[in-house]
Amino acid sequence: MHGIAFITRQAPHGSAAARETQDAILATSALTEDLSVFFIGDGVFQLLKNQAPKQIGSRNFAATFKLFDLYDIENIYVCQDSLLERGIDGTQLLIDVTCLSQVEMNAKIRMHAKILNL
Amino acid sequence: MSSPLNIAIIVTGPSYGRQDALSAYHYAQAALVAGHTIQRVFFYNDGVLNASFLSAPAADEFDLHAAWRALAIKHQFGLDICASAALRRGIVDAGEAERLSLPHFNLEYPFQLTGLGQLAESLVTADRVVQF
Amino acid sequence: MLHVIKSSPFTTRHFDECLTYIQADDAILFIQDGVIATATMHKYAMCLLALDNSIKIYTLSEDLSARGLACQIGSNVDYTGFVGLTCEHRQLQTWG
Repeated sequence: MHGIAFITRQAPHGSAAARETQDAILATSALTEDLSVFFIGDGVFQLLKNQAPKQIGSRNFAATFKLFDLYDIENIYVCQDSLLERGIDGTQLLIDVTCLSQVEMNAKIRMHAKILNL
Repeated sequence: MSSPLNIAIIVTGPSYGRQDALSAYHYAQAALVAGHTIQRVFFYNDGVLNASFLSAPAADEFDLHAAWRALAIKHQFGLDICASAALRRGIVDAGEAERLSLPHFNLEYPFQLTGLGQLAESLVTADRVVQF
Repeated sequence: MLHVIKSSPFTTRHFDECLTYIQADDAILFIQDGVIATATMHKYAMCLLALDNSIKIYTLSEDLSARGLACQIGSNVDYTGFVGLTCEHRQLQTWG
């Protein structure tokens, strides 16, 4: 068993958790490609298009998700159940992701040696 | 006892206001008594506030900042403060205070400003990473 | 997998969400305000009783006694036991 799972469950901008999780993911990607990112619960809101946080004094860190490909961060999973529960569909998301059911997310997370829930 | 492990601890809460940092400290103490090594304690999010030596708990209350310092010096592990998270929250060492023309600093050894690369290193190399 | 839950089940959704991810041979450790989950026989405690027998429930003694509580479900562990659990389980996940 190997690899690092970053699970992010927080909506953007109400707290710094989501932005700082992204920073941690980027830093870790410099050391290893063996990592996965899981957007669960309100975390799915981080990936919405058309965010304009500058007006509230928050950073538009969502734009950096478009660079994940460049950083070889490819294992990006979004919980389909979380999207449905929140009335969001895949076309509203900024980047291409793999949508998994909650059961599939759980199985995928368990393939990783280290799990962070930031 | 099982063979000793190299454990990294992540602290995401401040030294006062939430219990996370206290829990992390007591866990670290117990891990050391049990014969494990602490690879590092990495302070992230509001956890960087643990670094401020300007915290002044009441004389009859637990001084977690002082406790971290003593434990880290005795057992020779790093108290790594994420620099980017720290600067945003007003936690600065002497070097950064000078660089940024700030009137004062509030972080010194054994706390040290480091990058997220240290967190990444622990995620890759530590036997366990315990998040508080 | 060891799941560490820090918040009261009455205050956040972490307890409920953790239980949707729990599997056989996992363990849950309640710490901080999370110890409320095992302290009396409320609806959340009943959910724990309904879990598979292979799922071990632990509550941190120091956090129980700090709050004047006693554990009604599963076992107490102290910080030494907490360390032991993190060694025993290869995978750890801290919930809020």
